[in-house]
Amino acid sequence: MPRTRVKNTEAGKDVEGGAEMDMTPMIDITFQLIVFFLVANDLTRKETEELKLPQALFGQEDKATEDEKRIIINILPPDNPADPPKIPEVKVKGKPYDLKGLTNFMRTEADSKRESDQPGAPSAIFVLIRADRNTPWQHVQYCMQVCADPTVRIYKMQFATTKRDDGKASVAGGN
Amino acid sequence: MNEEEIPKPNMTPMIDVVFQLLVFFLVSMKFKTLDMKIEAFLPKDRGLANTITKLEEKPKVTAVLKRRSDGGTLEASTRIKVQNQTLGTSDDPATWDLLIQKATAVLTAHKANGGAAEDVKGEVDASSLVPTGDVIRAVDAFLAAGLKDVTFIGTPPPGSTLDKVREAAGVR
Repeated sequence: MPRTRVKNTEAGKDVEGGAEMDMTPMIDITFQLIVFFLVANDLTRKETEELKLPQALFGQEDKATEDEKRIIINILPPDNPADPPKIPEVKVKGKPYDLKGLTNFMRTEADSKRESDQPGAPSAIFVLIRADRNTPWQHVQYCMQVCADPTVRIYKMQFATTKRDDGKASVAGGN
Repeated sequence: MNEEEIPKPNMTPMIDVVFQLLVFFLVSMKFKTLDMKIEAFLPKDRGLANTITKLEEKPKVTAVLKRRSDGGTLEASTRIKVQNQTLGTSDDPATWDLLIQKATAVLTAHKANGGAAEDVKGEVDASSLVPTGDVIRAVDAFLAAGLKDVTFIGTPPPGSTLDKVREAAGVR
């Protein structure tokens, strides 16, 4: 830390001067920044997997809505697209599920917010399907059908897409 | 006690470490890119019987997307048909333009006959190995043509409750 020594000429002695910088606010802000990065880093990794999303021109911006309860289903691409596994590789909040496990999980989530008190009423929650662009369509269908299961009845779906990375303003153009 | 004699902690190493941490997080953090979304609604009907037996009289544009795996090798591109007419493959941009044109033509013809634009339905019938990217692109093409109602054709996963409902209803 730099310190300024001011010579007190009258007394003929060296005295510690008052030009010292107060470091406390800077340290406070720096710690706040570190806490922010730690928390933000953790949250973004929990909900969404690293995927190459399908490209679309007519997708709407996915703004977070606090009043809507939403489950994010990540569907990973298979290692060999020519011979994909029968069961899709699904992750919700970082946890892998098979179709039976996913149905049970979705049923519990759907029950937490139904559109009415009647038994078997449709669920009011949203589901965002984040499928890789190379995921076989059947895997996505299976997940949609889990939501449509008569014991689940989630019908509000969203497909995650991304902006065209080639900058073209036409649906045609490169993939 | 003289003020100069009060021992003060040396803050320099702590600030050094804190800045190192800050720089590490700034560099290593990958900011989340904003995703886009396409809204979709599944049928709200109970079970499947209502939906399957419903007679559709409204005009529709059906896009059939197929991709096969031959001897462990997946076809390089998806073959696309509309209203039983072959358009081409997914790697050719002209195919997607044709899809938009076909959908627009159906919509225009329906409107010319006094129908409402909302009546025209898009249908995507994709085979199991078609990549999701191509299916979403077909939906995007329908949206580009002005279609608002797009549905998917598919079968339920084996052993699901839905599969049992279909079985009970005699639907295969």
